[in-house]
Amino acid sequence: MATYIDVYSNVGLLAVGVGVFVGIIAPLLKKRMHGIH
Amino acid sequence: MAEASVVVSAGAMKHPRGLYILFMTEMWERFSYYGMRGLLVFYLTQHFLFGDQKAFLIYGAYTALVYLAPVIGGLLADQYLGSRKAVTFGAILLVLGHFGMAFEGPGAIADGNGSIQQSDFYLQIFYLSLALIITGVGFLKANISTIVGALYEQGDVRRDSGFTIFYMGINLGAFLGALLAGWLGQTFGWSWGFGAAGVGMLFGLMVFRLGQPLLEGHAEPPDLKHLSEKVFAGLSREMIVYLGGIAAIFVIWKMIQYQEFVGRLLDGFSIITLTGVLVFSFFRCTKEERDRMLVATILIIFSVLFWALFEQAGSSLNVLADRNIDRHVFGWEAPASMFQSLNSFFIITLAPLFSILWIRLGSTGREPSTPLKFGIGIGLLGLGFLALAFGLGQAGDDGRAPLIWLVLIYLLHTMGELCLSPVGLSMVTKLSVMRVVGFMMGVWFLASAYANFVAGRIA
Repeated sequence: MATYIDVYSNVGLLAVGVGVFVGIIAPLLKKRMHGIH
Repeated sequence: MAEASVVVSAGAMKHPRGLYILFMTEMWERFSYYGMRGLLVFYLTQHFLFGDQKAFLIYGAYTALVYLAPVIGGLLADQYLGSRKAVTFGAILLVLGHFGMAFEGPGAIADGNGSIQQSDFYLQIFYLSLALIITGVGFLKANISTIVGALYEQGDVRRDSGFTIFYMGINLGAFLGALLAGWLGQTFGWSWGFGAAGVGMLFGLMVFRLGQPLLEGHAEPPDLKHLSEKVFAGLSREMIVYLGGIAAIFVIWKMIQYQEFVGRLLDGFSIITLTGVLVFSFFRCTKEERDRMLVATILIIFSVLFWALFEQAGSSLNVLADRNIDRHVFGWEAPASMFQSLNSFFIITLAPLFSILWIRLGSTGREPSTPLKFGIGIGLLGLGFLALAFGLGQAGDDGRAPLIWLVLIYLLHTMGELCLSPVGLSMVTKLSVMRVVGFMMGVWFLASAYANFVAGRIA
């Protein structure tokens, strides 16, 4: 159980971190899409 | 990862009758696929007594090949068979594969020294059944969607509504399959669960065969004369494609037994493909094309991360539900595999709400961009894992956490899926340079396959 809690906590934090990072760079990516929606 | 295509209400339009044949066929196909998939890790760990890591690897290799096979099945149908013949061939293989799974044989025996005695004969039947299912999905999955599109003329206003109905069939099948086959398999025995999946696929095959006249010729081979032409040893092209499909079953039968080999193949293909896309983008594209190609590549890489974590559902989350979740519902302990139905249940209930949400936000100019939807989707995925980790900390003395935390992770993961999945492939095709758009679609499917294997590797 402790292993599950540890692994899922780390995976969760990693994914939230990546999600926030993608959110931050999203305007830059959108600009590079040159009008494609 | 049932289908999460978000389109608004199906409405009250009259659709071609062929749509309902495809709805029923695909519903039964997904019934069998998700019914079997929900049981797979338990069959491996409790019947064949594989360790968790080995079971997750087999599961990952299987689901990876399932995602890759339709690329080849789609090409063969486009070039030679036509969708109707490809779907029929695929459905026959699927019936054989699912019924093959029902031949469980004697369970493995663990002696006191840590070694496991498995029946090699039944293990080979199991691997052969997986190969039949992989090849069957390859011939059926992409091509049945193609027929749905072919039922409507370009610009037909009923088209999106038709696909909505079709996707509802997919999710309904996934929902019912996980519930029924899961319950039968873990309550009465593996043969019952896998047998139910086989019976479901048999219904699908019968519906498709009987309903073919209603397809009104929309799924016929591109060139019937060319297809029936004898080209080698008195065999027609059609027969050669079928024999090629049977040969593929034998190749996959062997491959699936060497999961690390499948992994290395996917690693190699992924590195080569990524390098190829980058070289093409930097040396063969204008600045605007290069920017778009790079954004498409970045989105594909993030999608691999998303699906690798999302696809823990059928492996590590499934096992966790079995061992560490209190699964009592109104006093009855539900088998763990039945909770695999939560994803499709939430898609069915939430997809219309997300569709309305995006439309409302879009009407006020506030709909998130595609990259932001990817970010929100990945963030929701992470929140799901954090919620479950917190919930596991609330486990009682019996080491079992309340069921609500399992439900919550599937809810958050499905919400993430609804942000990312409906826009993913279409955005990649829109961002890709026209002359390589087919290749980039292939890259997307390779990425999905790779993500599934990675899911098994990290589970």
